[in-house]
Amino acid sequence: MIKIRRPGFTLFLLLVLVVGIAVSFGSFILVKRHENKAIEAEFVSRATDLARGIKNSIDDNATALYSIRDLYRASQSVEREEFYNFTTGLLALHPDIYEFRLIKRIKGSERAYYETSLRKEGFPEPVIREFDRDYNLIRASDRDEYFPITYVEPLNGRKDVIGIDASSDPLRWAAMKEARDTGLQVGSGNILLKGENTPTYAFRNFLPIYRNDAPHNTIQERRDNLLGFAVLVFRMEDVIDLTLKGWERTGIDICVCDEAVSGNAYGKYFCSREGSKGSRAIPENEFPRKNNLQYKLIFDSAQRSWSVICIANPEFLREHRRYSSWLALFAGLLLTGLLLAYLYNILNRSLLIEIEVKQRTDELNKANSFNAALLSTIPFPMDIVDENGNIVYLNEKMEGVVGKDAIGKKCWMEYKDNGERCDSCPLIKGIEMDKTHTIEASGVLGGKVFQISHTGMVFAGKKAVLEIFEDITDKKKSEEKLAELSAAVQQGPAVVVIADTEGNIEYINPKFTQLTGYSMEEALGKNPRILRSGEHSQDFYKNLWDTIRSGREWRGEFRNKKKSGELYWESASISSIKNDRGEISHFIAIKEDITVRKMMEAELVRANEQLMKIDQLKSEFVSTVSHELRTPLAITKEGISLIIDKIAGEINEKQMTILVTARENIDRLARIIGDLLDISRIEAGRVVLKKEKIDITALAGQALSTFEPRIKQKGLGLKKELPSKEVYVYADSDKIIQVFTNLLGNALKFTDKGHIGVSIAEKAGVVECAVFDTGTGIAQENIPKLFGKFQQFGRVPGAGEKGTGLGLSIAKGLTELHRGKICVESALGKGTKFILLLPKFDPEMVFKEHIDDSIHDAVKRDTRVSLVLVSIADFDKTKASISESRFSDIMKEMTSLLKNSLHKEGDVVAKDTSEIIVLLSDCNKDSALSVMARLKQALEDYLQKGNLSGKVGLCFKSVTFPDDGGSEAELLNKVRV
Amino acid sequence: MSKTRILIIDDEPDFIKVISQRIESWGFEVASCENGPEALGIIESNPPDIVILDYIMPEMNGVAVLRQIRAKNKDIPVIMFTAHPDINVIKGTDELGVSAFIPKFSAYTDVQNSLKAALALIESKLGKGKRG
Repeated sequence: MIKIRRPGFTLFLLLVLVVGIAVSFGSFILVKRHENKAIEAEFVSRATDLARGIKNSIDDNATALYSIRDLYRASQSVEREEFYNFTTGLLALHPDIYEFRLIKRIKGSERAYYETSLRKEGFPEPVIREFDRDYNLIRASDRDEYFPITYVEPLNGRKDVIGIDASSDPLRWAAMKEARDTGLQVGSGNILLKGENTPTYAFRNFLPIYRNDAPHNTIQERRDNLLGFAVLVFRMEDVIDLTLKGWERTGIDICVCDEAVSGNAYGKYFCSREGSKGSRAIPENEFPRKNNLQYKLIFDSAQRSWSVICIANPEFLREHRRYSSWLALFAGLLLTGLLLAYLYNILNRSLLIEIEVKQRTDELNKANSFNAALLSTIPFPMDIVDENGNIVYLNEKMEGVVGKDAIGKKCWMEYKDNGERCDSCPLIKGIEMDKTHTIEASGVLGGKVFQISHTGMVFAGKKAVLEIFEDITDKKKSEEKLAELSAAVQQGPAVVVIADTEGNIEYINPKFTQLTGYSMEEALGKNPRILRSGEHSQDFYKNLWDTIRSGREWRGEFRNKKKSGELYWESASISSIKNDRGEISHFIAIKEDITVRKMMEAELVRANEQLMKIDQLKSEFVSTVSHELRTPLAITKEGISLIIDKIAGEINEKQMTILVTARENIDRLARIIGDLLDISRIEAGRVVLKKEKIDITALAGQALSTFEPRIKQKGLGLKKELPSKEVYVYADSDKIIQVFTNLLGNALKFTDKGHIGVSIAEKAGVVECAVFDTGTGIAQENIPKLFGKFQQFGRVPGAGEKGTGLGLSIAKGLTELHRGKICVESALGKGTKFILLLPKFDPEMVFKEHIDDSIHDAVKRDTRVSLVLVSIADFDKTKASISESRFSDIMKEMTSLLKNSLHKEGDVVAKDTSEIIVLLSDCNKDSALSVMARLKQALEDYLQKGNLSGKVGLCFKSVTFPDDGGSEAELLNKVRV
Repeated sequence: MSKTRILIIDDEPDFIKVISQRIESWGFEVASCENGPEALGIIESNPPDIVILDYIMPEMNGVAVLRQIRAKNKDIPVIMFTAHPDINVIKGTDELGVSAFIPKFSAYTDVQNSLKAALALIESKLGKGKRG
């Protein structure tokens, strides 16, 4: 986690807090001020209205008094009735007026008259009275003029007031004098009303009434022409109460102050306090507590100064209190708080975002480097092209192919071999965002085929296409190859069936239908057992399934049934198909209709059997001929011989001669038969040689010795040119004797003088045997024909046995069977030399010949041949430690031991030197190994018994044909390594 | 001392006729029969000193007869006659102990001589040699 410290952050928030609080309080103050002003304005407006109302009431009342003077101006003399009528209407209009009075100026002289007239009117105290010092009423003293109250309206209960001289009260007289002199309405102070049950104070305004008929412009004129005074009596309380009557609630306390009264005199202040009943006069100390909200209206009325003071009471303040300022403060603080919270949040988030951004940036950097690394490893070339096909980006891979310069160029100019735009280029239709179009383009980047996917995207703020190139050249080739293979399967000559692991057919090729008659629809999903003919056993199929399920290939032949019921043969190779995980997913059978081949094979077998039969017949024929011809011959010959030998009694000479001739011809016939049989057997390859190691010198001597009597009888010399020691060949002694006999017989036949001889000479690898004579010889031109059958030419045989004409053919055949050669050197009249070349005995050759024969035999019988080689370890050393004869004995003993151990299992070929080879016919590798173990045991036992264990070391090794080699040379090479 | 007794087994009566005279001329006592089973009966009832057996015979050939003989009598010497041109093809007789193979007919060797030599050899071995 990355931490970012921001000291400015806290400071900023603190600043915002301070400003927020300041603004809140500022707005609080402003709103408060505005609020106060509004309240004040409201107050002033209301107070003004109230104060003016009071002033107006006072003014109105004063005005009403003028209307009484006007009444006097009109009539000069107003009777009580008139006054009453007039004032009653005025009083109705001005309910706050306490009463109207009329004070008349009565001169001293008129007192009596005045008093009399009052009495007439019925007033009880018809005397003019005045106030004494104690403010008691007494009869007025005599003086020049009196100012008695004459009319009072309303009069009810006020009759005693009439007649009181108002001028007797200094307060009133002062006001009256000022009024008389100025001609103006002049008010007096608050004066106790006489005649009221409760002490009542009231203000009086005096308005002078002058004589209509005399001027009153100067003071004197006014003093002279004064008639009296109209008097208005009012209680300030009434004025105030009446004015306030029109207001429901004012919230304002009102005080009216009589400015003319100084000090704190009672009657200076008249106050109405809201909530209290009516207004009343109060002393100043009871004046409502003054505050900021007060209003004062000063005015003059009836030459007296008044002031109306309006003071807002708590009610007003309560009524007009506004909470906007508090609301503003609260709102401000709240907003500040919210702002702080918001800012904190924002800043915090910006911090977090910054951290996040840093982290993301780090991650992005990592991811970028990873991506870059990844991109560099992406095996596909990629680029980005704009909508016009201009390359705007290349990845490393693509850059490696086309180079950096490709940027800005048309993609097809860079990639396509022919520089032409692909027909299927998705750019032609326009870019579709986030959609991918994949095309295949050939002839790209040097003859390759690419699959190019185009994905619409935005690159550097513009529409672009991301192109990813995948080289599918090889894939294409494989596909083509696969198509070819597929076609091969489809159209090939072989029947192909693919089935799942349960054997349900999933695929057949047309050849299947062609062969079996089952259509694709009929075969798919079925099991191949629809083809079963019932000719194979359950074991056969079990073996098949076991083989293929184990993953091996099964090869074999089926006799199956077509849809039509017709049977046919097919050879099949069935093997498994494995998936990526190595599990068998399918089996594939490749089959071939071999019905015709089978028929031909059967035909062949039949023909072969026929041939064998014929061969057997031929063999039998040979036997039969041998037996059936020879038996009568033998009997005849024996019979004749019995007579010749005189066992049956005496015979004469003549008879004897005839019988001997007969017997000679019987022999000749027998020879011809024998030779014919021989030559036919040789030519048919039916002669089996019983080869062994033989001493050709002794054999030649033996053959010659049988001729010796006849040679001598003919008077010929006998020459033996034989080596003193044995010369070995590997041959069938009977056959070699037959050859010698033939050659010697020939020599004897054609030689009349000179000698007949036999020579033996050892040459490189061969033994040269020769039978020579000094006979008639053979013409050169006849030599090539010499070994042909029944070739008797030119040479006239002497007396003796007659030839059969087959002798040399037989000799040649037999020699060649021994891998030898026969040739002739002859000169007419000088003699003939038949030379017989036979391979010299060589153990190695014998080895090879043995092995070769065994291999031929094995091939013929379809069996195996194994070969066990027993060799002497450290041969030279061993030979040196033991005497040569002892060693040779050991070898011989071991050889015979092996022969005995093997019984009939094999053939032992002993080499006189260091090796013994054991040939095991019809013996596979495993058997060979067990035989070898047995032989090893036997030989080791033998060596131990003879105390030879330490002296003679033996090595054992085995090979098998055809497993280890296909020829004698390969086997020997392998076994000797 | 009685004569050495020879049993000739051959399916050819004419051959028996001539060869018997020849052998008898050499001083042997000759018995004969024409097939294997008969011969086995004779060997059982009256064992000869030497058996001369023809290789090729119908029904039971020489080798089969010899095998039967050997099943009962391991030691009796047997000479095998054969008219087969190639003595080498006679197989299966290796361990049956044939004293001599004599070609029934040979233009090159003499039947009488061969047979005489073989008989003399066997006789000497049997300790019955009186022909010396």
